Amino acid sequence: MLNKSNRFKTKSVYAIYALFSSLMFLAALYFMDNERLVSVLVSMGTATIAIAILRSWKEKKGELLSDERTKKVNRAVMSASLSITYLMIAGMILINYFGIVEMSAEAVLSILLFTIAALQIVLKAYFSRKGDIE
Amino acid sequence: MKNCIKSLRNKMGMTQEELAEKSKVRRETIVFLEQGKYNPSLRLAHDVARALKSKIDDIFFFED
Repeated sequence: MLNKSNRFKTKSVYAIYALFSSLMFLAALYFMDNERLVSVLVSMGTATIAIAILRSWKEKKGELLSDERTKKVNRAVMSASLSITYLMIAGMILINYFGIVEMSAEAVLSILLFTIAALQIVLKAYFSRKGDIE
Repeated sequence: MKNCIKSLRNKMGMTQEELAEKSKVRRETIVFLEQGKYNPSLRLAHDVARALKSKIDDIFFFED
């Protein structure tokens, strides 16, 4: 059973999901002329709703979403993905500086967006298999 | 750090799921604890010991 503080935390998480997906759909309506941007925004909004539904389903099943080990894993994942992303940005600055590859701001942001999401999934799977993280 | 969670749990006829619920952690954490792959916090060690109706030092011990 969820206590009062956890219920508040859960409601806040769902409020953030709802706010973010609404913002994405509103932005998609605002930028209606730009088809590429609209598809990205709608995808992000839909993915957020899907995540919220999955989370709520797990909660209704009585599955505990986090405990001290998963919190430790999440901290390790955040720390490792931040370090790797930092190195990637440094690499891209050097690539740009020496003119090896011409990259637009949109390309750089897309690479970073994809890398961070992919790193979160891969590193979480890796650290979750380990029992403890020192 | 070693522990005898599995034998105590079996003695009490408790499943990993039940122990996880009583200790307020995920079942995977109990699996790693039993395998000796996860060192619990003092709070978790206390919760597990209470669920198994034992003392912390009867369950967790260091190998010299």
